[in-house]
Amino acid sequence: MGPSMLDKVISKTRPTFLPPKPRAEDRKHMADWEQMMKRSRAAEEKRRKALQERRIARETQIEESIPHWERDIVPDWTVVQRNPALRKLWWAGIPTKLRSTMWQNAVGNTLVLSKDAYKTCLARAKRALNHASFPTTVLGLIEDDIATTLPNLHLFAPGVGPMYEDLKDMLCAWVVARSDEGLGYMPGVAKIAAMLLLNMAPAQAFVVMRNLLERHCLRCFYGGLASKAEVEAYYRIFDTLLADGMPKIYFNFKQHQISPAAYLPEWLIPLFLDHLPFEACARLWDILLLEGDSFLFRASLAILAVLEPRLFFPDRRELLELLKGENKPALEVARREGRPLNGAKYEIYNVDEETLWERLDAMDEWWRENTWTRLIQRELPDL
Amino acid sequence: MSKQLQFKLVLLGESAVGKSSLVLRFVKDQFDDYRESTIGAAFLTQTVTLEDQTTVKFEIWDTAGQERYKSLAPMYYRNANCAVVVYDITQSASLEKARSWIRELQRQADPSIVIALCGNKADLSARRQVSQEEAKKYADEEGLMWGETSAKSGEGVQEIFTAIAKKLPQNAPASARASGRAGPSGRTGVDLNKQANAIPGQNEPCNC
Repeated sequence: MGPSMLDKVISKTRPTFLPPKPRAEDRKHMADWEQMMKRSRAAEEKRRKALQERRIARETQIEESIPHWERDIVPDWTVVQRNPALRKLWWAGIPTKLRSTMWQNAVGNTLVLSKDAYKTCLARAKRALNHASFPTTVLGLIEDDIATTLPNLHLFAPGVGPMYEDLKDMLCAWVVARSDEGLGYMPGVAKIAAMLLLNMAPAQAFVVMRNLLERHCLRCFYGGLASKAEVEAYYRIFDTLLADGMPKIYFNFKQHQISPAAYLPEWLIPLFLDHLPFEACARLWDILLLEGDSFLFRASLAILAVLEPRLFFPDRRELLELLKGENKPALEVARREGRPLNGAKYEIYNVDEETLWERLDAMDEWWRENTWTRLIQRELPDL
Repeated sequence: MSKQLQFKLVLLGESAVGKSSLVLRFVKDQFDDYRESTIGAAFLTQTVTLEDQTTVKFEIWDTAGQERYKSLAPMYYRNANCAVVVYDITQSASLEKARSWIRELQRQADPSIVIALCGNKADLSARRQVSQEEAKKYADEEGLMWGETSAKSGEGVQEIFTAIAKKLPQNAPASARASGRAGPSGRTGVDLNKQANAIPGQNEPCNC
C-alpha cells in the first residue's frame, strides 16, 4: 500500500507544533539532507579505506622485519632493554611467528615454575572434578567466563569450539594453583588464558599466565579484598596521571564522581580483551609484556584519549553507560553505517588499532616514566 | 594390523573461493548454493580409510576471517600437519592470493607440512580464468600437491583429501602425529616435552 492521500499532502519534516514548510523548501531541504548523508557516507568510507591501507602497510612492515628480529633480538632478547632502536622495533609489533617465544621471554618465570607445573595442577583439578569435589559455583563462573571470551572467533564456544576444552582445562588448573594461595576464581581471567592459548601450547601458556598475573598491578586487581588498599592506591595514581595529561576529562569525571573504579578494573582484569579489538590487544600485549605495569596505565590513558570527544556528557549515568560500551546513539550509528562489529565493546566508538596508536604516540610528549616511578614510590612505598 | 592416525588440517584461501563448501562436501557430502560466509573459525572432523586399512582422521580448521585476524596465525599453524590452499578457477586473482598463503605457510609453518593447492569450482569451467597447466606448473615448482575440485558436484573432493591422507603417514615425522593437538572429539592431551620456558638463543623453526 502506498502513502495515503493525507501523507502526500502533509509535510513531516517539521515538528507537529510548527507550521509546515512550503513544498519547494521542503523538497530542497530533503535533497540537501540526502546530499549531506551521501557525503558523510563517502567520507566514512574513505576514512575506513585509509585506515585499512595503513594497517596493511604496517603489517607488511612487521613481516618484513623478521630477518632483523632473527639477527638482532632472537639470539638474546634482553638487548631490547639496552638498545633504543631495537626497543622501537619491538614496540612496532612482534611478528606473529616470534610472538610465542618473545612473550615467554618478556614475562619470564620469577615464580620458578617447572615445566610440569601445568601437568601437576591439571591432574589435581581432574581428580577433584572426577570426585565431584571441584566447587560447582566455580565451574559455573568458569563456564560464564568462557562463554564471553572472544565469542566472535568461535574458537572457545562452549562444547563446540575447537579450543574450548583446552581453555577450560587451563582455567581449572589455574583454580587449583590459586586455591593454594587462598584465592578464588576471578571472572575475566578466561580472556587472558585464551589469548595465551592462541599463541602457545597449554603447558607454556600456564606458566606465562601465572607469572604475568604475579606482576604487582595485576596481582592487586586479581587479589580481591585482601589487596583493596593497593587497588585504591592504583586508582589515585591513575587519577593523578589523568589530571596531568588530560585535565579536561579528569575535571568532568570529578564533577560527576566517576572514579577509575568505574572502568579501570574492567579494562585491566581481562587485559583489554573485552573492550578493544583483538588485533589491537595482541599488539598492546607485545608492549605491555615488555614494559610492565606502567604501560597498563599508558594504554588506559590512550583509550580515554580516543574516547575524549565522547566524554563530556553532563550526565553521570550516560557517562557510565558509555564507559561500559553501551552508549545507545553510538550503537545506532554503527548499525546504520553497517560497520562490522567483531565483539569488542569499544568498536562502536571507532576505537581501533590505528587510532589507539595515534594517541599512544601523541602521549610521548607528556608521558614521563619517572613520574610513574615517583607516583609508585609515593602511593605504594612498600613495593 | 590397522593403524589409526590423526592430523590437523588447515584450510586457507581468499574468501568466497569455497573453502567451507569443500569441507561440507567432504565431511557431510552436502552442498549449499547460498552459503553464508563463515565467521570466525569452524572446526570439523572426518575420517578417511586407506587401502591398507589405515584410518586417517582429519581435524579440519576452516580459517575464515584470517585476513582480519593476523594474530591467529600461530594458532592455525601450530602443529598443523597439512594445509589445503584453495583458489577459484574462475578468478585469477584468487590464485595470486593462494600464492601469498603458500609463501606464508612456507615462512611460518612447520617445514614438514604437506601443502595441497586446490582449484575449486571446476563445474564452472566455462568461465575458467586459471588454466590447469598454469596451476600445475606452479604447484610442481613449489613441490605442492595439486588438484581441481567441485564442491558443487563433488568431483575431485574425496580424491584430494585421500591423496593428502596417503602422503601424510610417510611424510610426517612420528612426533608430529604423537603431539598433534586434538579437538573436542579426540583429545590426546598436551605436549609436555616442550620446554616450559624457551631458552634464549634457541630459535625454534616453528611456532610451537
